[in-house]
Amino acid sequence: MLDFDINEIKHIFFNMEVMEGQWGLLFSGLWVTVKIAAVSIIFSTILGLLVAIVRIQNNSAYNLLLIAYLEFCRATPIVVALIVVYFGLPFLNITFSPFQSAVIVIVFVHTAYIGEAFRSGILAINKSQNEAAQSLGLNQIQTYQYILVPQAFRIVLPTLANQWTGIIKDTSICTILAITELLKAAQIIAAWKANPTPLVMSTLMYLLILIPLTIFTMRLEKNARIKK
Amino acid sequence: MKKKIHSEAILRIIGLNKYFGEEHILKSISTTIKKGEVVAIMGPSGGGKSTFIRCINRIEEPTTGQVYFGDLEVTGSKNKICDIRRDIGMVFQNFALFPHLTALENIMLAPTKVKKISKEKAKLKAMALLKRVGLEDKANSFPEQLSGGQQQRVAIARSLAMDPTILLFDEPTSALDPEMVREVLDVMVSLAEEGMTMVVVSHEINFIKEAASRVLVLVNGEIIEDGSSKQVIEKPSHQRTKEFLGNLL
Repeated sequence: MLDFDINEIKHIFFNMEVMEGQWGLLFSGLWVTVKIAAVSIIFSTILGLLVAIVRIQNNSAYNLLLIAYLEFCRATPIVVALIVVYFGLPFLNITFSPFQSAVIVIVFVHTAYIGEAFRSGILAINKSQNEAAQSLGLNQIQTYQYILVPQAFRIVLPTLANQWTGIIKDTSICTILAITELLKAAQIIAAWKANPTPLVMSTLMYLLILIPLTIFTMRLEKNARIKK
Repeated sequence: MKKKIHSEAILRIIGLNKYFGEEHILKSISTTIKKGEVVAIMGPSGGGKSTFIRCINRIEEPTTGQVYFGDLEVTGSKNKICDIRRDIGMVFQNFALFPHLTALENIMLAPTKVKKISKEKAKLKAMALLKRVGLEDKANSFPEQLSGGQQQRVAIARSLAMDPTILLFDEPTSALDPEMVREVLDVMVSLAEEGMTMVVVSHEINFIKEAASRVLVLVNGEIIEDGSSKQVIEKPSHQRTKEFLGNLL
């Protein structure tokens, strides 16, 4: 019935001859992807936390601004944002390198989501925690630093890990820029060799990073359920 | 044992009003609490007891009126509220221990971060306090590993670590199983005997008879009874107090 030749599939998708001498380019692409993801994760997590804390202060002017920002991020496809920053802003004489553009756009978009996650995490903490901290003489910054933020982290860690996974996946939008991250490196080799094996290899590399992270997330979610 | 009550006022509360929306919870309450007094606050639920005690350290913001702690005004913005609060300890109904910290760390946090005492000194003191509440073997336990009574005793030790001038207790035993009430009350009685100034929202009649020097009865946001514990419990002047005490006994 199904007529396929295992050798042909091997020849097309898992052709190690094609990969000969190309691993260097693929791994340097992987390294760029890891760098973009790591910098984006660090910045969007820190900024997300700050956004959440500002939101909780209930200052109506700031809140309006941040809600507008959140809605903007929800409604804008990330590729569109990237094209605007990288190809659009230079018309205003604002120029960013491909690496900077990628980080700026990913951080901008994911900060919004991470901020919402932290906000609900902080709001989930019993308000007597805040009162107990205040009654001991802790000021607001100390209360956040020692009491609320450490607890919020525990609550949102599963959501956070999910967002981090999303950031790693979103680094692949950089293929539209002049930067050779993992997917772009694979595309270059595949085009040159006229064989899709490098694309398959790059997929495996994404999986290599993402599967441990998703297992980690699943474990956290399971633990969180048990604790409840 | 009758302990000494000084004439020095620690708390002066003048014309305290609290509204929640339209609801008038505290109606122009005034009273003075002197050094060494153990003041019990009783009254039916919804009478404003918790709101009153929470207004003292401004965990709840009073609508109008003044609270003075010694010479410092707690209400109003002249003095930094967190500087005043470090000298006013508070113990909560639901313990409010920090769940991500061990018993020892719960006690050490404020002395090291607020008073900037060295870790070594704070630890010595925290261990002494744990011993005092009978929990030195639980220093490294997390709150979820402790029973309610143990958690509340750690919470008292946490307040004592700041060397407060006065301790506020907001229904400290209401969330406890009956067999754990005593262990917490024992700690409170010994504090009272040592001359600690305390304000306690509680219905533990035996504790009040044993340790309270004064009882306030708060009904519908007003103090309807203010006298020695003997006087208020045995010869209440107000019909409403009699009904309330009747329900308790």
